[in-house]
Amino acid sequence: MSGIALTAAPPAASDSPGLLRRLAGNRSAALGGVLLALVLGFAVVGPLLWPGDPWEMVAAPMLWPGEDMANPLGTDVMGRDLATGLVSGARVSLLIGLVATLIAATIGTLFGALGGFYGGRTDAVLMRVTELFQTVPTFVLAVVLVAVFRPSVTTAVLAIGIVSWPATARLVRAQFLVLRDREFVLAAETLGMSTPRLILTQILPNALPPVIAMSTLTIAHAIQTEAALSFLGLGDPNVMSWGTIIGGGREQLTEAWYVCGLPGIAIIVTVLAFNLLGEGLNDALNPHLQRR
Amino acid sequence: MHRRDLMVGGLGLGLAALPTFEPGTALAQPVTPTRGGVARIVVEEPPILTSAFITTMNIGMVSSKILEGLVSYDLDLKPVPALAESWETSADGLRTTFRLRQNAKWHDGTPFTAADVRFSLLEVWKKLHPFGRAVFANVTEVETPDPYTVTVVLSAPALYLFNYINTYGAQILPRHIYEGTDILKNPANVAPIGTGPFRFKEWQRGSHLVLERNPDYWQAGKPYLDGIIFRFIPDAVARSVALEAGEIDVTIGSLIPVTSLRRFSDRAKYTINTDDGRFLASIFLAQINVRRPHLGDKRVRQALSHAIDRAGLVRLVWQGYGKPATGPIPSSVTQYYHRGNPQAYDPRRAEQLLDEAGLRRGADGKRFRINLVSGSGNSLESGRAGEFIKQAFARIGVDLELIIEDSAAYLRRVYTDGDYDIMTSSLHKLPDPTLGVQRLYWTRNIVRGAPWTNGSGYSNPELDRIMEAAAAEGDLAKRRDLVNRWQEIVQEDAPILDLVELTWTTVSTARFRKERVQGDGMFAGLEDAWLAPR
Amino acid sequence: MAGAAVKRRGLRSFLLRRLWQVVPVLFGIAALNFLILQVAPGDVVDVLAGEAGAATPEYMAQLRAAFGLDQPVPVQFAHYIWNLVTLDLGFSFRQNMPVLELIMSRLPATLLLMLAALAIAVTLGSLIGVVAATRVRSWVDTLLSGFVLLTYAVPTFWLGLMAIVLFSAVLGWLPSGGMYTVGAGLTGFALVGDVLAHLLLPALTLSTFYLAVYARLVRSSMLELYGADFIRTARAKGAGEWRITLVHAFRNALLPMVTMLAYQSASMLSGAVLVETVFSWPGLGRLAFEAIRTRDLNLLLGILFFSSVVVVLVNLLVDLVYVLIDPRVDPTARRA
Repeated sequence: MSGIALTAAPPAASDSPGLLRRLAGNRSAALGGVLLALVLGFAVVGPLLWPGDPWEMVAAPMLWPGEDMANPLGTDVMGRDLATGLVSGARVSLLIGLVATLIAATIGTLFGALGGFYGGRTDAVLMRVTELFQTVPTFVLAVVLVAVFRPSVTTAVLAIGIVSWPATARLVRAQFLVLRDREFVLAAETLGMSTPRLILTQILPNALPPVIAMSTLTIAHAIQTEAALSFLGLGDPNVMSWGTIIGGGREQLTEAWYVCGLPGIAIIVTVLAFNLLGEGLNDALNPHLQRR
Repeated sequence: MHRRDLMVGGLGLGLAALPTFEPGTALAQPVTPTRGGVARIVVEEPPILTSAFITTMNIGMVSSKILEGLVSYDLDLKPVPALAESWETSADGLRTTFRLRQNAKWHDGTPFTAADVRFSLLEVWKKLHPFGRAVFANVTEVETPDPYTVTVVLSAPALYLFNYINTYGAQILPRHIYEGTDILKNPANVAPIGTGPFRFKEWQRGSHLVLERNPDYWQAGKPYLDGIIFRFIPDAVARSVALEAGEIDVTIGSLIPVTSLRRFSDRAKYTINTDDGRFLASIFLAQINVRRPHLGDKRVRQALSHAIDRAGLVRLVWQGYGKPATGPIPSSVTQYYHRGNPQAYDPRRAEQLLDEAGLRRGADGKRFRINLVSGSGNSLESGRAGEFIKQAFARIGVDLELIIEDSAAYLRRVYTDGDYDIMTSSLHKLPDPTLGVQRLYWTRNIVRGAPWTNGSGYSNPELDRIMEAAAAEGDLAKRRDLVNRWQEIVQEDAPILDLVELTWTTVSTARFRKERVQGDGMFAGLEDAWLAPR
Repeated sequence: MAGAAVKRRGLRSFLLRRLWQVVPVLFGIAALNFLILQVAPGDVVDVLAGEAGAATPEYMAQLRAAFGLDQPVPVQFAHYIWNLVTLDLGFSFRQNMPVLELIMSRLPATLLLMLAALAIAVTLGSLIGVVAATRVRSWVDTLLSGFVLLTYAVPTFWLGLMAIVLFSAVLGWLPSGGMYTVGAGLTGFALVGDVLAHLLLPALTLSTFYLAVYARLVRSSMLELYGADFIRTARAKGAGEWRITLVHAFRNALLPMVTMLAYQSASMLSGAVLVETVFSWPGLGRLAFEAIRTRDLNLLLGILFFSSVVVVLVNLLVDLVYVLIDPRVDPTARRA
């Protein structure tokens, strides 16, 4: 259930001149960029506008947005300011998405690179492990990991990272299979370049662009997963993420839907931003598709 | 009150206390019950269907309709006849005799007799039931001089015995089904055969459970209902919506979140019963691990107690459903409640105590850092209470880290590893302190690995002596004095901060009526319940 | 027909090899889950004792012995694997039932939900994909693509909650949960209608998760095929635009869709956990979540193992379908 679903076939382009220009010309990427800028701006500027501890009970509980301008987005069931909470949530959710994706990308790249480069038995073993992780229902595995090893930001990040890497591994492997036999790689090999150097300096840089495109989708997915975990009561009780707000507000849904609604909308916007960006990146990196 | 008063049972005893209690319960106006109809009740899905050897609440809420006990309890938590018609205790307190119903039958047609009670007591409750072991520890023999008389012979008086013999505490199982089998694995545990007003029909796991009317019930003309359907709805929002949409009639066991209760405040349409769970006498509490640094100091524990605004906790987290707790016994247990000298909300006093204990604020304004664990299986309120306490402690310079774990990890951490500073839980104190309260303070109950024992590690030989004396005391007035002293000691030493006396709510449509108000209404047989015509 | 014989032989060896590859994967899944739950603090006896209200250490030790939890981990593991080999998923000590029986009692509900959601996703997704592809780069395309991206961005559980608020609480059109009206005693068409009414919200909610994938897949495969040689030939032959779309392009878009179906079979249980929780749907997903909450090791492993076997079988089946749909695919070639 990872981002692979939305990516097209991995591009074979080894270099991409005018990438940024193409990206800017791409409507998806442009819209995604704008949305992401908004979310980032909210996360960065927000603390100046709504400073303070998001956990502090500051006003009457369940104030509706606009009811009291001291709490423009209203308050939750414990009288905590939702605007402050959403700001904190933006930072936490983005961070969780980023770190989890970094973990997934690292594991995935490692597996894919080794498998694709060495092939043979190494590849077979690594692919079996990848298959294993693709066979297990990923979210269920994440729930198991978080539930069993105490819900916290750390376990959530690790769990999401651990279940999200197989798509990247397959992508990188496919890239490596193609690049492995390219002339510049063979040439470097003949020149006596060591294997790690060969992988790191020659193949990997060329294999990375699609990984980056996929990673933006993984971020989106990680943010959703974190929210889902919190919804099931597996959030970090010390950290206010969007998922925490939804989890805490879910029982008041019919009385005060905005408590769940606002962070939900924040998640949608953020996920949409990353998806659009990922798609734009993918198009831009894939001139084959770009022509149409 | 003299001992004899407590021991005389009889019909009508329970009704005496009725009219004084809150309106909103079904008794507001006397209405003639209507026969027929199926009540749709939401409970949390139980793992099995007999409470005879396990105290899981949701099992009790379902099994009580099928299987019965000797008595049930009224709002003052005094016993009211059920399968026992009457009872008396000898002057020395060592022999208690129950006279049983003569017209009760098991659902398979076998007559119910004293042999069933004897078997259940000796083979099930005394051996397998978590509390039964303590309740019936003094029982040396159960005599059955005739099929409808049971005499329980005790080695020492046990007043508490009368507080735990309803269908939830001591459920009577059919001897002819269970004798000679592995009781824990008997198939009847999931398809019970009882004497109760309703018979088990089918259980669709994950979805619902169907009971049908027992036409041969021993109370003539009852039950009024044709059957009961228990539905399992895991999501709280969906439960509220289902109740509003008329898809269900009743929710038992606080399944409607407190924050949604105001939607059911229209008396013409809904009934919110807050008395059904009195019997459990549950308190939300914070248990302090006295073996930890700083927390072994009584002053520190008192300071933490002073820092928590219990009234605010009730108001904000429980939306007013509950009462600030003052001590280990909730005020609803009128027989033994003693206000004593509880720590008032006073952050300044808290800071002063911490200063006295040498725990001054550091450069960052903080004194020390501790953690608070709670189980994720607990209610949302429990999580919010943790957040509330965290903010309260921050104000006196104590940094609190919240840990929420699933119950396996939580119980392991608290009771096996002792790797925690404070834990919160909602514990049933039960109508008798010897059963529900002593276990939390008794030195001999510091038992590694076993849940809900004395997990704070608190040990006070003087208190031990008082608690043990109270258990064996056959005179109510003397026993009360002992229990009062006990309450004062633990208030002062504060190994456990009793925070909120919990209210268990039963929310139903106004159509759902019940003749009798019970203190153990969560575990009522519902033979006297009916659905008023629309 | 020597070619066909070669292909058949190839197919057989392919199947054998796939099956041979599956065994270590299944073993790995059992081992992984077993290990995770071994490392985790606490066990089902803690849960049972906690629920029971009290227990003595002796009683708990007795339970652990009865459940085999007192044995060394390797022995437990060997025991478990041996049971799996003999197709015995064990007994759930908390639910008092054999694991397989529990799974089978919950499976129909989950299958119904999944198939309904997938059917909606595939139908609606294909429709959107086809329309978008035929109107590529028009406002219709943009609008549909935007809609599809939005459905993909919405967290399913959140959408489910909002749907309950709107359609059950505010409008009162649809039931808020459950699979059918319990105790209504409906039969025949009335029952089918009742189940459909209960199914609609959860299936629609769950389908949004898959919808985007199919819509995009169909759109891009069709665009790709529009440029392909045989479509140009068909056009040259004068085949009508709609005929080209439906017969040629769409049929070829089926291939990646089938692959995607197989790929998504692994995520079925994941989606089920959330949607079944929101809509009180009595399926496997909730059972799995319950099993996690209560450390019901046998049950959880049983469900995960069962779902893995299903996924593996579906993938195998899809490989076969692949061969049948597209004669160009060489089954002996390895899929990247």
